[in-house]
Amino acid sequence: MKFVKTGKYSEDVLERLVEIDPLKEALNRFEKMNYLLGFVKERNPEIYPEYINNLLAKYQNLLEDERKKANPIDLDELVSENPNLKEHLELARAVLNYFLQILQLPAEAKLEKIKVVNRDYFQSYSHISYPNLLVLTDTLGRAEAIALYKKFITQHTLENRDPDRKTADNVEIIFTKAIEPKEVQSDWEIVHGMFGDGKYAFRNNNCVFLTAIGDDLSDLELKYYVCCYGDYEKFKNYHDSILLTMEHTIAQGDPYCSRVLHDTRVDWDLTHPPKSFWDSMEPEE
Amino acid sequence: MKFIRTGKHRQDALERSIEINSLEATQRRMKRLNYLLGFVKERNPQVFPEYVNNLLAKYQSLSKELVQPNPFDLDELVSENPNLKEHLELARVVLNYYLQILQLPDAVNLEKDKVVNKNHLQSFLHLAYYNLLVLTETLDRADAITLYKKFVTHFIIDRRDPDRDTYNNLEALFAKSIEPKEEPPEWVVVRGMIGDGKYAYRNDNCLWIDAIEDLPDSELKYYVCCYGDYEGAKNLHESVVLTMEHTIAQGDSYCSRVLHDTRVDWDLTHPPKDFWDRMEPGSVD
Repeated sequence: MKFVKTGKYSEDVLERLVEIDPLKEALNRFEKMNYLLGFVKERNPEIYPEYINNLLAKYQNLLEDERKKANPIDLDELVSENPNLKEHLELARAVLNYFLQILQLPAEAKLEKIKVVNRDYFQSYSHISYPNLLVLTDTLGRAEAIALYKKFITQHTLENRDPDRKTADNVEIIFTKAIEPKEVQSDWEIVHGMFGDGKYAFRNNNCVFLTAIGDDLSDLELKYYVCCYGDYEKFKNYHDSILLTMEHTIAQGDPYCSRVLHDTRVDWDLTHPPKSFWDSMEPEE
Repeated sequence: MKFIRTGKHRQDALERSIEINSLEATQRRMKRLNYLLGFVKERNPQVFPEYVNNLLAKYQSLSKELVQPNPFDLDELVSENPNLKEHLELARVVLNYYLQILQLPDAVNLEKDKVVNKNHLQSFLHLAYYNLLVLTETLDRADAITLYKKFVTHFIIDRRDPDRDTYNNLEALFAKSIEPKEEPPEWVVVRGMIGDGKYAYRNDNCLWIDAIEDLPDSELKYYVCCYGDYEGAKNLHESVVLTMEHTIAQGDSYCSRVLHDTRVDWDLTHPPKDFWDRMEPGSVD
């Protein structure tokens, strides 16, 4: 069995400047949060007002003093297609202020293309998803909140899936594409291999996303749900018959993430290889 | 957690007489064999002629008739099955063997007939078993099983109605399966919801396996009788995944199965043996 390593972590990756369209990025975070609010409102209406209040308190608490009363210019546009945030404008304002704070952008300037620090860019995802889940656990009780959040993540992916998307005829194609030499090397170090017909294994040796979060967010289990859990449903975007199994995760404290894409058109045996397989998964020199 | 038993073991289950539409049933068998032949021809064209010859020899050896009669319905049965039409002698021998198992005369028009239940079950299980057995004798055994697994799954996918009724949740399926029936089914099953989106059931008997007690290869019986249920479970909903560990086909005392609704939870852990051993109606886990 031949394993191939791709990517190389560069020390400066998180400090690098990246150009982003902050309005587009904010729309992305707002759309997801709006969906989460709608999901909680529909499934657990009895706790919904409390969840909103707790979220507001959390984001107010996370804001630097000078941003607490800021009124971002693009707020109206951002909530216009997100009714659950529009209904709770104070919360929307606090979230947007926090988003701008993470990205170190001015509080009341028009959002347009700008360079930001890569670490801040990653955190602009994690530092919103994580408090949303954390506050849900505080409001609903941990087990129930996690169960609800898992459904939300999957449902959100399902509803955003394009039924006419281009799918992969087999996992070999995904593997081949993943190991193609790239013009710019990825910062994600991954060892890939086909270990059977319809079985593509890959071991993530690092997670730039989690490195960016650093020690900021302390709850490993919640980090797993925020960073990794959505991948189960997302990998079905390749094809309805492709299933991900995942056991070790950097988010939960393992030294790597172990993942297999199983093409169930080929084989329905979803056994995930044991730790010894992943430990010995080394690329050929 | 509460478990409920459905079904009742009947001493005469295999010996009782049942009415079948033998023409429709035969069409299904021929269609499946035609699909298998097409699948082997497309994926392993180099062994296809040998596979057809070996099948012919196998069915001739199973036949009580030295000279193969010409069943009335043969032309109609092959008309929409080009791979069988191309190999008419094979089609004739298979059809005769099928009628032999059902103990139906070869020179009558197929219509509604009363047959012994065991013969009915054998009529499709014997065909499927011998088709796989001959494949293992033509190709290397592991390759044959690999190919057969793909065939089973693809056959189900290709026949799936995209507009079928699906289940919004597994609780609805569970509730339906424990509804009292006018006549209790002969399949004895202990069922329970073991978590949100997790419907476990233990089959305590399997009439299919009882009916093919005479066939010796347990592994092949598993692929013939059970393996298709993985893909079949997706007929309930695209997000449903079946896990299965113990099977009567492979010599276990029961079949252990869980339907997982991945819209609810992507954790596909199958409960361990002691869970299934203790799964008794009325018991609380």
